Amino acid sequence: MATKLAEADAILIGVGLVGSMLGRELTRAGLKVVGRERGEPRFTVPDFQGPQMHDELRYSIRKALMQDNTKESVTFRNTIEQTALPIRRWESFLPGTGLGGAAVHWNGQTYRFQDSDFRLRTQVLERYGENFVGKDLTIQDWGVTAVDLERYYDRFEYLLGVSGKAGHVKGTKNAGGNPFEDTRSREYPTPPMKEPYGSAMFRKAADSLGYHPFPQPSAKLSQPYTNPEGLTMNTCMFCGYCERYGCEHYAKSSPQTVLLPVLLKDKNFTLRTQCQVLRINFDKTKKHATGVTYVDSAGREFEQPGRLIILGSFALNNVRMLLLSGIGLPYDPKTGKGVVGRNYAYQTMSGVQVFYDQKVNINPFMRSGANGTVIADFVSDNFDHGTHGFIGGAYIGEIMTNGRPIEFHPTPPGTPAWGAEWKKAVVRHYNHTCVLSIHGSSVANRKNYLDLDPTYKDAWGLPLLRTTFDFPENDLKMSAYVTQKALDIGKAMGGQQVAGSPRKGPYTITQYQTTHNTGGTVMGNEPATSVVNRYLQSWDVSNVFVIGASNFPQNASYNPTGTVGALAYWAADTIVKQYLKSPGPLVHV
Amino acid sequence: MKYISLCFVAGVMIAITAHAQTTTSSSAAGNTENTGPLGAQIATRGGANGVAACASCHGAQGEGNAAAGFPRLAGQSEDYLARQMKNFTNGSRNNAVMSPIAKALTLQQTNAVSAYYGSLSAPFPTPSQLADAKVLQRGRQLATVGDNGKRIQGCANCHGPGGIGKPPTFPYLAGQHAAYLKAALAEWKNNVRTTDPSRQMNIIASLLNNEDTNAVTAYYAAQAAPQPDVQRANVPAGSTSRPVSPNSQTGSKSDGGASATQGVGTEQGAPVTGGNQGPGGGGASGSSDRSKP
Amino acid sequence: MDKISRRSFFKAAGAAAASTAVEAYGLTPDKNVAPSQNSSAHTTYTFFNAAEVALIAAAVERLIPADENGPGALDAGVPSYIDKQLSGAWGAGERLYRSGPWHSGTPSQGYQLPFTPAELFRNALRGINENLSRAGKAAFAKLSAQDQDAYLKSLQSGNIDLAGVPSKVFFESLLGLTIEGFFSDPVYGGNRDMTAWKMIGFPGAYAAYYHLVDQHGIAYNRPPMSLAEDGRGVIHIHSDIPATPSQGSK
Repeated sequence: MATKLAEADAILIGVGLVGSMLGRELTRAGLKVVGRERGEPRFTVPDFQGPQMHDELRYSIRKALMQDNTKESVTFRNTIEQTALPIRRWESFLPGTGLGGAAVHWNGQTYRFQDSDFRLRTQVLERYGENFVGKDLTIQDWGVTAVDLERYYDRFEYLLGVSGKAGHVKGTKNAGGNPFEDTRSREYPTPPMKEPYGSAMFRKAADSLGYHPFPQPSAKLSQPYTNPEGLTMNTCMFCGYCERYGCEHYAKSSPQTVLLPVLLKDKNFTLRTQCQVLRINFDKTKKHATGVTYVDSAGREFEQPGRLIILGSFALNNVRMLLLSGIGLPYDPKTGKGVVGRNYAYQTMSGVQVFYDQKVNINPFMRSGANGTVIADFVSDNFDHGTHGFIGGAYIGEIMTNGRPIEFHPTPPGTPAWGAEWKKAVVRHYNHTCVLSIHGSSVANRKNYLDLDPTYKDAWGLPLLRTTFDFPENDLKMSAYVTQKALDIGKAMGGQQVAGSPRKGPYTITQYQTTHNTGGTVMGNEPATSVVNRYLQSWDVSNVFVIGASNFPQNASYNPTGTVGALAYWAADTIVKQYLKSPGPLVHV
Repeated sequence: MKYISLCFVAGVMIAITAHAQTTTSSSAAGNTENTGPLGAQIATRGGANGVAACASCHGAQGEGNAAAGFPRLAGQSEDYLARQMKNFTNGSRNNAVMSPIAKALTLQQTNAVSAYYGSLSAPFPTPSQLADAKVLQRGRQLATVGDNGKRIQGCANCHGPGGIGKPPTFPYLAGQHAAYLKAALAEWKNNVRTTDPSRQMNIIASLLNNEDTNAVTAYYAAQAAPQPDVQRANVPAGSTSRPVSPNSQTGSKSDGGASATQGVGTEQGAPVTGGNQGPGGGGASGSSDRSKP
Repeated sequence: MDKISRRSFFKAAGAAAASTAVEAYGLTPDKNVAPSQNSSAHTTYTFFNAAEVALIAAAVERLIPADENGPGALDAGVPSYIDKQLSGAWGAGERLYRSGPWHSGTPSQGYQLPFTPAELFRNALRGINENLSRAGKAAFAKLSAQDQDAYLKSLQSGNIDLAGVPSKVFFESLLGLTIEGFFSDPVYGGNRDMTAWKMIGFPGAYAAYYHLVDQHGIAYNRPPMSLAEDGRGVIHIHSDIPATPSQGSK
């Protein structure tokens, strides 16, 4: 029997990046907010301190900061004809857990999506005509524009203290920044990070080929910075233990460093960790949520009533929570009807290796999560797709993050996987190899979707989320085109040998690619093709807001977190300025 | 090898052009033909250009002077010492005694004397009186883990295990005199010392109150100073042996054998994550797919 | 359990080559240490029995052999690393989703066998012994290096049933663990003396390169530091954890 708790003004499901941001905005507006986080509490001191944090086996290989598969996994299949099977250990993507969420162990690559990303369908139809987009692609506009989100991007970047070089401020293009970005109101809060050797060689090569290299915008700070919350960040020390690790230096922007110290002091805020929310509850009308039911670490069940519910967990978990709670019509790939779980997308990644002479010391261990130099010449619609037969694109960059040797021991193609030749090659190439990343967009189609698995259950006896995904032909064509451009840049970088190939199908969960899983609770202007309206409010249950990369109708070329942050502030602003004054649907159709 | 430290002195924070074979290896005073006599000469007798003997303040063996707050130099990173001399010269660090001396020394003299002190191994007398156990405990906490309430990270993150330093950048703190460390923290705090472009130390020092400063400096002063960097070696646990003295100069990095040959393995030997979290790529550049548990 | 001891490795590879590798990273050979303290002779195994150790020791040394660059997987303590992984929580299936029903699935669906890593190794090692003896061959450890390589390749590419474990799955597990043990921090029992890190120039757990990252192309020759560095140049390698002798041998 569940213990009923006192009603809160707002409940946060998940206290990661989105939860912390919304918690801060809503308590600031005077609401009594309770945060329910399924993972453990953890802080820079003592949890992320060296040298224990610098343990590749524990954090990168055994994935200590990630969701425990034995408690909660997801099932996977490439196509609807197959039987989905559980992901028994994470490999392709790594859902995080714990206070601060994935923003504890993220790399901090903090981009803005472009306006052409937000109005993708319109853009493609206008520029290339009706027949350019394949029939099975379900790409759509977001219902917001870059202009709508500019001030929220700006606010998020200043919260984090992002280090970068703006390419387009108040209508003026600035050399050295991203020339393709939409105009922004001001420069980044801190200047770009130092440029490592490989990135400098990439810049030179990209320049020589007529591209427009710029420093990757980074939430690992280039210099000390005090954010609007009054919290001071330190300079990133280039330790080479970033993604999959917490930061010991207070140099990585994460809830622990940019928000939680303030939020946790707020008497209007209550945090409970190790609380697994099982479902969102409703009144009889099914139009109004009354709270959540959760189980604590000792297995005790609680009912937490609340007037407003913010679902801000990882994208996949947002979708699952709606499905488990019965909010919104689940998507059916056979009929194309239904919305929850629709438009699941990913990121289309590939890589190029540049092998150098032994005189060239790359020092791959002197790196940071979001350092390096990239080009956006092949991002989104920044180039003419007319003759290519695909939409979308990718950024290319020399953005190596580490030289941790279990993960990083490059050898040229043709090297055996083991034995004397392998060992020689590892020793020969370890310090003399650069890797370029091709970070590509992912379109949505009718076949890729999320629903509840009919067979496999989590530790609480609830169905796992089932993912059905394979790379759409469109994205494989895109990857082939952009990876060739990366190979050309690689050849211009002065190495002895360049190797790499585009992403090829089928999608496999056995190889790490990225944790940029998107879609499933898509935002939009039409209830028939979206789960939440443009303010991220559920069409069906107006006191539930769903926030995260699950809102993306399809995934863009850039990393998603900047856009998640902007959407979170956009939604928070709307809740505080409009919703709280008159609770109810914010958009009527 | 000596031109290497010249590079450091001349432009340690300046990017050295690609392909330049510089090194951070601390070669100490191994090369006795060039630096030993000169370094020792300046240290013990001073320089011809009116420079006082370092030993008059820093002790005959570089042990420093606890009461006067003159730092221990013995076994300190040669690169670090040379860089500080440069900092005294360019004004990013200021000291009424040291600044004129640093300015008077030639580059060659600076390098020689830095290498000399880097190679010294002075005894570490157990401090005659230890601070209160509570103070030391607080110091230990700050040194090893930090304080989240104050947003202070552990010193060990950069200054190495037990404060032994992480050359060429980070000096050792273990066995350093408390009075000197206090003075140094005050310089960081007041921004009169601006030798760290990351400004980590300025921020950390500003977060430490007097009690913290006393605690962390007392803690480090009570730790045995490390052996000179060049004498460090790796000894397995359970062994009673300790690092032996070096008898050879450090060389250049092993070239790792001949260029890679083509093999016949059935799997790709590409990296698991390609030095990034992501790419890998399908097909040829991809990592081996894992069907293992 | 014949193995290449540190001493014999130095002899085999030639003192000159060995000392070059050591000197390259500013280290001095630890002359004060008796070779026996450095060899794997004293390793206590808590998972593998003696026959299994012999097989694993021989196999990992073929996967990463000693050569002029330095010790191989055996002298780096990789068998000890694998032993500890399998006898601990990871071997017992920590963080491994283990509910059925069990289907073999497609390659893109990854590992779908009911075995924990420990069970997988036990079965596969038994399977290898049976497989070899059925073919009238000697135990793996007694084969010539060439025959060992050929047999490993047959495991890697073939689909031999090793007491229920597909040989390819076992091979990938073994190779994965060998690379982990070779390159992970010495606290886990492999990468003894940080030998693998010294070989490639990886500086280890203590890391902060803000001041050096823009010195492009710098030769960074510092000796590595382990998580277990005690601040006095001593690495505590916990390869001799006492264990109940019966635990590993059934």
